[in-house]
Amino acid sequence: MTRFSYTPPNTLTPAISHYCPGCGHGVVHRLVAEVIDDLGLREKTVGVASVGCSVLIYDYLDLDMQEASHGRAPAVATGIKRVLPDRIVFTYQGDGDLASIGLTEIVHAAARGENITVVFINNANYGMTGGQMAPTTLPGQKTATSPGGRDLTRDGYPLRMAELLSALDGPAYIARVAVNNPAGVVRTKKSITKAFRCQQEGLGFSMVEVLSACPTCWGMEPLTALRWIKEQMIAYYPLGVFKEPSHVRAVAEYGEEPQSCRHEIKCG
Amino acid sequence: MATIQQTCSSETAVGRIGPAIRGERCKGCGICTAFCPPKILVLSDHFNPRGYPEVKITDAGACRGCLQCCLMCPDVVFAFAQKDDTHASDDERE
Amino acid sequence: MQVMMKGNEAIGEAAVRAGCRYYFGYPITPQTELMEYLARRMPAVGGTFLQAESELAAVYMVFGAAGAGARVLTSSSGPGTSLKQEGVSFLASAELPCVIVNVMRGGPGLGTIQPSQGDYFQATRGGGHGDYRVLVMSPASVQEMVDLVFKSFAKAELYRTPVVLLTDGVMGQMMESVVLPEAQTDESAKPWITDGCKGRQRRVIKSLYLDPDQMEAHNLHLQAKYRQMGANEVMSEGYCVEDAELLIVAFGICARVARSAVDSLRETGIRAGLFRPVTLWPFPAESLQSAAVGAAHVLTVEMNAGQMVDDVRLALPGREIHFYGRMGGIVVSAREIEAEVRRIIKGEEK
Repeated sequence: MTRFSYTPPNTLTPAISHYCPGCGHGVVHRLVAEVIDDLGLREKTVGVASVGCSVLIYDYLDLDMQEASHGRAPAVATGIKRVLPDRIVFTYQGDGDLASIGLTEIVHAAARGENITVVFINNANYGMTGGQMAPTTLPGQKTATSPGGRDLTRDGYPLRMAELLSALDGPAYIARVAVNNPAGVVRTKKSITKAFRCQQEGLGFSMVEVLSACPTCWGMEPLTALRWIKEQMIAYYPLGVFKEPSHVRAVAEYGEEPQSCRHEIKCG
Repeated sequence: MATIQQTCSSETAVGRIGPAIRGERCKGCGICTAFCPPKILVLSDHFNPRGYPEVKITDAGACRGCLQCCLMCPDVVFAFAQKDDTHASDDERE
Repeated sequence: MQVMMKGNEAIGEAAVRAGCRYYFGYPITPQTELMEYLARRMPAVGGTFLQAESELAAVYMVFGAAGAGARVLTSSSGPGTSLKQEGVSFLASAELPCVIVNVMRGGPGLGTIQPSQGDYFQATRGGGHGDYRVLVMSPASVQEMVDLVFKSFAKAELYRTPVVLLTDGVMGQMMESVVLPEAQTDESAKPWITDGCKGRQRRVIKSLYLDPDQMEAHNLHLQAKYRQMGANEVMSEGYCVEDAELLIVAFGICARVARSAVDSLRETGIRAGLFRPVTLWPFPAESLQSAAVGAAHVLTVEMNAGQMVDDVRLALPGREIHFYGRMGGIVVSAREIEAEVRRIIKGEEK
């Protein structure tokens, strides 16, 4: 029996986003909403918005949400999860929020094995404020505050957050994915699903780092931006799973099938 | 590939009429046009209320229902009706 | 139940008895005993104690916890309190109840671990950005610390606002006899918390209002709330004010010392009196005006370069307000206050 169907997830509000044409946030918001629908978590989830282009994520996800200050979402999420341990708590953060000002909070939340899920959007710059250099900006990459290209002697090296946090004992699941092509989008959803399942199982800290396009600040057409992810970003930020409890892998792949949104074509 | 197309034409009316398109959400990024395998999505001359050139489908009959437009679109422009709900897709389609 | 308790620990015990079950904090002298006490006490009552990675992280854990409906406490001193100020601004705007204890030490900068009263401006003027106020309570005894902790949690939830309990390193360390109130549980209704939108519309706890009209409306709402607090929450205490020829105005540990000075002065025939604000914000201006009506002289005594004296001058315009202060973590002595009082009175009689 062949089935082709796709309905937008309930957890996504009908609002048309403020994001730029081709911005990866739109895709990842949708995937987070799909996973929450698939796992039936909407009414028991509290999200934590951060500061960046995605500060308005609470306009797009129909969930209880709190808005943290820049970098502090993991601390806010810790407060929520310690009070409501049976709820699903996640943060949604960008490069500056997580890897710059918020580096202490993310490292310690991960080290504590805080049972929260972090969705980390890596688009190699500070989008909301106009494209300044981020801790994830690539060597030689031109930004508003590295107009001559990121100079390693002045600015040092980018941070590979998935690798960095994987060195800690607290995290249970850490993956890096990219939404630059359909296979990547499908894998991103699988990773986000595994991360939320990890939290459901009480296994500890989970994070999905998503390489995402920022066409406007990169000064590229959207399709060129997707190519840039493949040709430049993935070389520096390799995709893969850096930490995964085998139990989570098993549950995610052989557990219950999601009901609401399908991306798969089944041929009988 | 042939097997899938054959299955599509005999089994699934939805696949044959292409996705429902909510043009008012489109931001003209063009990503869908690149990832549609039969290349039936194009940015039209019509500008939506937000000032973007809307995507349109040139040959709905050639749609394979691969859902790549749904996967790649950042703005939830596309939907494919549920298998029992062909008519809704008809109405929403451009 | 009457026990001898150290100030810092009494605050912790009072918080637990007031129904607080969540503490997030970071060690810093001279308040670390409060934290260590709760590290033992919270788990014993089924509460949560978490040592955060910084005072900044701690105040945001408070934010998350308060937004999730908890009765929550944090504490710090000097540099740590400064780190929290962004969080206080966020808490005030998001209208989240919580209690923040500041056990003042000498500053500015890394300063000293000795006591001071140098954070009055920060607490009452708002160390964080934007138009907001917090209730600021100032105890002058370990018993009052306990009583004001109970009041702080109640007022925090009544007004949905952060409340600062402003004390100092002497009071935090001193041991006094206290009567501990009966324990109470947190049964307050909180129809605004984010705990998962089961069976209801979702809620968002935020402080961002990009639309100017919305931002102004939110600020007007906050200001109306602060006016209400100003009208209803003022607290102060007078000691020998009725016939005072010289009125001393002091808070916290200085008020304790000044009270001894008042007694000594009275024994030598000088009619000194003491006006002690208990809420530093709202400042008891009207009560101070009544207390100062008959006094020929007003002397503000603080352990700083002159902070509360600004509020005294605002409350008593056109009058000469004397100021005596010590810094560096030095606690004012009764003898110094007496000498200053005599100097003022003698000076006026010339």
